[in-house]
Amino acid sequence: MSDYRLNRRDFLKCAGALAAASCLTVSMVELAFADRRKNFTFAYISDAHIQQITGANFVRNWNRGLIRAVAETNLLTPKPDFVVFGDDLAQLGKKEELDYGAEMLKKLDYKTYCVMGKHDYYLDLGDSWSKLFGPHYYSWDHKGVHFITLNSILTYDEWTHERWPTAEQRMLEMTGLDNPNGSPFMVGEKRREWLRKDLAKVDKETPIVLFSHSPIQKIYKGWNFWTEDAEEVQALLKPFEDVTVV
Amino acid sequence: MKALLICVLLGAGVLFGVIIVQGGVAQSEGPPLGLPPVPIPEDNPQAVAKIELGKTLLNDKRFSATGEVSCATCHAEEKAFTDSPLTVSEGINKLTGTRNAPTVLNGVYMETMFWDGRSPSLEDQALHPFVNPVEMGLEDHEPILEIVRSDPKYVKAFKSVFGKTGKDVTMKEVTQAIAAFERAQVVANTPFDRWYYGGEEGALTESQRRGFEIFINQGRCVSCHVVEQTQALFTDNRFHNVGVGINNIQKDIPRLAREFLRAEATATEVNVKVLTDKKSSELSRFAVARTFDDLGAFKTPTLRNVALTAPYMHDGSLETLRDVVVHYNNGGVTNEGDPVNDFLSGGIRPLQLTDKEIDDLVAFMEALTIPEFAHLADEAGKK
Repeated sequence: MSDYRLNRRDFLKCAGALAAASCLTVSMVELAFADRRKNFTFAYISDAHIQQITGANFVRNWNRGLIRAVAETNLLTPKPDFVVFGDDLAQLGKKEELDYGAEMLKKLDYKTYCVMGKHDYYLDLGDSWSKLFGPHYYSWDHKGVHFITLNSILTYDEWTHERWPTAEQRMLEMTGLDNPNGSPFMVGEKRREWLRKDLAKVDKETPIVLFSHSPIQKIYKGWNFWTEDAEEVQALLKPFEDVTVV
Repeated sequence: MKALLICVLLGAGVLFGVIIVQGGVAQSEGPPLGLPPVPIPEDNPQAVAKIELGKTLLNDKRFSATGEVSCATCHAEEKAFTDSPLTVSEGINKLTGTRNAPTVLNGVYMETMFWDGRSPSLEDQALHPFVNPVEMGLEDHEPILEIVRSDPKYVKAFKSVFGKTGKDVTMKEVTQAIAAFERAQVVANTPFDRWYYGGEEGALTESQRRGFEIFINQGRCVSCHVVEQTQALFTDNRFHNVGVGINNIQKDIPRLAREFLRAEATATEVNVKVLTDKKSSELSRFAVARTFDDLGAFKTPTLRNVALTAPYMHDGSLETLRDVVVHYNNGGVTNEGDPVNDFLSGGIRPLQLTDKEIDDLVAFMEALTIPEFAHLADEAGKK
């Protein structure tokens, strides 16, 4: 099975020209195998933060950033196998923002997978996002690699469901950095159980790529570079030979 | 033993500046007000005779396939070193290229040459138009070398300037002389320079002063047309997609871009392609650098003498300075409401300038005319 083994050093090759090309992160990611003929690429875009001002009026710079990222992605040569839109399509989770962002993403010439971000979630707890993009967390296989998107921006139920008088305030509280009213991210028991079952079907030698809004680490709580149950998630991933978290 | 001889080299085509000549080596004694010191490469020092030789070469029509086109055809001194009012340059047999001739004036401060920066120096730049099929149309540089190695006037000049004769005279010497002439075209001292750097209160009108405020604030012009505390090049030497040209080929971008991404082209191939294929030309810097950031991105031109060099933009598609400001005011589209280019540079956005502010901004740009060329403005006014 060495053919399928990822070369960790080469695993993530970001095209520097692309990374610098836009206010958004647009990266061409190459998965490099010992047998080069098996290499493939996917494109990664994230953090559009489409923001409605009023009505059909949105923040122009953020629109232009996503429009540009989509147009650049469509020009990638060689073509990527698929696109992952990282997270935070919207700024304040509004239906209008997500709809408008989805309209722009539709112009991508490739199959596109979306990951949930906190800005997409905390207004209506992912309802609008789900209507556009489906389940909050899911997995798929591609050319011998198992891809997983996790909804890792959840937090304690009390904070989410009871503390705030309005959904708008909940959304705003979660967007602040160093906010004493904030709450740490977590994957949560239900998603961990799903992950455990999902991984049970996967061979330990199969490379895994996991997309997560929050790093599966505990780095800095104040800015939510933090996952409260990072250790539990890491434990689920540990038996696998090659795991990369994006 | 500093200055042995000080002379103003108007005869050699130096418009401004005092040149110190030391042992036959000329150096600018301080640049004109508003400009930084002139960068001179170590391997091509300035010298009076070299500058003069460069001027002769620049004006020699024998260096074209028809004997009718010289460098100066498109960079005419009497047109502020452009070919205004042509939209794009005309080469041999009235063949047209795809781009508007940039001025030679202050070209020495450009870090790269041509609108897409595909050439790294004045010396290198001078090689290409001779052999471009729509410019001077030579097959190769041999006909030039035959002339400079045999014409007695050139034989004498190359011997005196470079100490070389016969086969030792190559395109290196030819382009060094042309570049030396171009490096001598350092000009400023405009009303703006006298006002901003010279403290001359009355040099600008009220409207021009308001225009400068817009230039550095709401108009955002200064982001690319750089003005600093002690000098103004009016360029950042970088490349930007400002929504000109590229807007006309939107649907062709994927096909054209892929052609460049797939094929490794030589410098000469790119040089010919971008001047002969209008659509490929609009990819601009991308054709050279192959980075998406450069799609449709052209080099920021300087602005001194801009009022004299209509029409504007890399393709001469905008007739007046007012048209240019309106284009930027619309956020990178010439006609309000037209689709914005997907690859438009981030800084280009609607400016919300009023008609009066647009007038002021245009008035400011008219304060960038160099006194020695001011009569051209009067002549243009009569047309």
